[in-house]
Amino acid sequence: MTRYLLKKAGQMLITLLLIVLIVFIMFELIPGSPARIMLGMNASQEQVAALESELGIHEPLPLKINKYFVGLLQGDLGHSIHFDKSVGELINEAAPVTFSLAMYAFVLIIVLSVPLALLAARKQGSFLDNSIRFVTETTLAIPPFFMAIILMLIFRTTQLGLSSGRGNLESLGFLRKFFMPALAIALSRVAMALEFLRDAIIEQKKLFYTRAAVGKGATKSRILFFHIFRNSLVPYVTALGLILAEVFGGSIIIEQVFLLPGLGRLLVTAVEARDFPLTQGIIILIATVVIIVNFLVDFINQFIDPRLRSSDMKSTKSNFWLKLSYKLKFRGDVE
Amino acid sequence: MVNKKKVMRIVLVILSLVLFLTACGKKDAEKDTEKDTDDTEQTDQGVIEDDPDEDDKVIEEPGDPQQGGSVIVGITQELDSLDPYLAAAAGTKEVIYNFFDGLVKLMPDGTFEPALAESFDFSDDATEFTFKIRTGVKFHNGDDLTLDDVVYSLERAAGMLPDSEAALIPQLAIIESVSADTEAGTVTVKLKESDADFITYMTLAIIPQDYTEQAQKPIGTGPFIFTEYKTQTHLKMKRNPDYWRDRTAYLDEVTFMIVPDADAAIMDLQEGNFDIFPYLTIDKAELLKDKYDFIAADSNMVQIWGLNNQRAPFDDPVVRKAINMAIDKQMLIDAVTFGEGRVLESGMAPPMQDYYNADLTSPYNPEEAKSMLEEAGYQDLKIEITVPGDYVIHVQTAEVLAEQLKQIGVTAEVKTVDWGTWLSDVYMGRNYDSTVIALTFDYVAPATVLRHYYSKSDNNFINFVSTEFDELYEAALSETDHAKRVELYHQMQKILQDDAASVFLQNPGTQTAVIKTLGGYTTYPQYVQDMYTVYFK
Repeated sequence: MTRYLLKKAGQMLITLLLIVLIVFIMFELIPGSPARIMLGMNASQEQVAALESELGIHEPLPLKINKYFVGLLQGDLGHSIHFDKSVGELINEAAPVTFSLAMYAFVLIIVLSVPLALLAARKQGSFLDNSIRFVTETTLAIPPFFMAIILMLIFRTTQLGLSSGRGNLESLGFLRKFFMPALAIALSRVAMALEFLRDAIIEQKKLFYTRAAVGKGATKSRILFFHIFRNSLVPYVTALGLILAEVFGGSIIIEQVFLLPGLGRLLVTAVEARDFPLTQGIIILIATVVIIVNFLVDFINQFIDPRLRSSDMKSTKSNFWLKLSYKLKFRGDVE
Repeated sequence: MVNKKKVMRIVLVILSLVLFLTACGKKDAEKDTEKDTDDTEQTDQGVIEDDPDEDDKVIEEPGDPQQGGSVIVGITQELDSLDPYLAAAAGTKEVIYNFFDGLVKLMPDGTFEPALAESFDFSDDATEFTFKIRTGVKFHNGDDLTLDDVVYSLERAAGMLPDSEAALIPQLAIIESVSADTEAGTVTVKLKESDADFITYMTLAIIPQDYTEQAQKPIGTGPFIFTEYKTQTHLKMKRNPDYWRDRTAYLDEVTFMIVPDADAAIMDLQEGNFDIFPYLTIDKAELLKDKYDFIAADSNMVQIWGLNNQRAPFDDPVVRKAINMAIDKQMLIDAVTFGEGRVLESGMAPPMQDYYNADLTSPYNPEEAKSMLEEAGYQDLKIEITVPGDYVIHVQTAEVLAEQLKQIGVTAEVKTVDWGTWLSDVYMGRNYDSTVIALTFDYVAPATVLRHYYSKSDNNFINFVSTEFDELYEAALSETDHAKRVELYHQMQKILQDDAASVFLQNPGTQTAVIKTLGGYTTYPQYVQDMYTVYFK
């Protein structure tokens, strides 16, 4: 187990390192000086040059990278150029919005996909099955940002009081205010999650233990919930893990549409202002979240399905193949 | 059986939801087209009551100013540093204006009135300025304003503190020394060279000495005290009860709410979420006229179609002149700013008061433009207009220009880049054919705008070279006699037009929506949201 954990941690660090480097290189390549953007058209060249040297923009890349990592190891994400505030503080203000939105959307995905999948899988190919899949797959075809705009129009014209999600995270208002953006993110992913669970259930149904349970005299719903459903959870949770990562990406885009003060909007401002420390900080955070989610998926699966637990190396390996095959299948479904 | 019923119910719900989706989409599309036609009628009839030709005014309504109340102002930009010397965005400066006072204050009519200075005086050659500093003024932290604070402020802004490399406010780089005379209670500023515009820069915020948290918690002497700033969300301020003027502000609290999208802000206005919204386009006014008054004002923008004078074909004055003749500016204004802009014939704009040379004219004559190009041997001219995509007004302007150029057989391709790229490639790199941009002036100082044509300046991104212009520019900087300065600036503008340095398009107007219960909203030739004068009726 320790070996497995160490290995995972090592992988995580390498991934993060690569991401940080990619952002560094990206910023070397794109045109635009943060100093000039900050000071505007009326500033003199000397002024811009002075600020650039203060910000250390013309330092050689290895030196910059070195400096950044030294700071990072001390837990210092640097100082935002545009906002003239520490990156940590800015992320602290914005992250709760993105995280709550993503979690809200994620809960909606589960709440919608589980019952629908159970209904659909009851009788494969039935009218109910087909209509559920037709509707959810239609929503899958609509890009979330477009869905957001449609939802906004609907809710605005119907006066449900679910207007734009601006406002505080405090109180019950949150559920109401974030409903639309969360739904916009969730809807297109419901189809993915549902399809996954439905297929798994149908597959499980064909297995012998189901027949044995029927033979034992267990009721239909008992078999469905206590035998089949549980066994179908492994691929579903794996799929949810991938979806959760995507939901974070999605909430960043949706924040733009609903103008929520989260990480997505902050990231756009940061890139537009060529605010390197802030961009880097946000990307590191998002990458870390995605990596951790994937890691957790492995663990949860082992908890659900004891067969995946066994010996260290073997389990990692088989789990990896299992996950990969699901991933491939999952991708296939999306396309 | 029961289960089947349930199932059917769910299916029905889902299906009706789908129908609902499509139905609503359609309804909204219809609504939008209706709205569009309404808008055009609106602009044609010019129902908006405010006379755009009248500068800077106060809403005059019966009803005495009430003390108290709180107001929400919608703003569409993320703020940058709250430090008055580091804030670069006009959108930040207009907000933090309320925290500070300068030695002088710019008045709505463009004149300057003493503020933290009781009086001021300057030498005939405009190299020495003396300010008598007001006593009994307190900063928001309770400290008294001292001469040292004034000296510190000027030195910090001018980059004269030991640890600074360059002036934070570039116009102040010409300060030679700042000294205080405690007995007389005065501060004297000596300049390296004459600058008759210098007094206009003295609207500079005065800040307490050695206070290092201006960027997070700004402190000044102004009518409002900073209370809270949440990035991407809002900035709050409260009334300064110890304000040094004869009265404090009327309002108890002001919140600047950040909505980074003008269309979303319109939704908020329709719902009555904002009391003041400063960046309305006139086409939206109709939707809001029941709740809001509209105040028209000049902007501080000179929108130009900048031609790269060093690059073919614009290195040939004939081409520049022909193109100047091919553009119907009024049509452009009608299309892009819904008629709320003023045609410019010079590199300055009417808000620059008498410095603006209003006598210049340029004829619109596409036929002659076409024959001029033919005579000079230009056929099937292809050019590129590079515009910053973040500014819709410039992108739309470029598209209208491209359309108008077709008449004279010129093909223009509009290329949009992001603001950062525009600054580095077009503005600094000068690697472009032509661009549409607005030159802005922070102070009512004519040189800020015309510096863009001074050949020795970094800001001369159109690569305009005229020794005559340069001489006039230098002469104007050291001229203290107002009438003579005005004359020099008029001559400079004439040169710009005679040489067709670029195409001067328009001075776009601005509209501020103010909720009907408020009064006192004042506009200035400078881009600020002055909350001191605002009150509930």
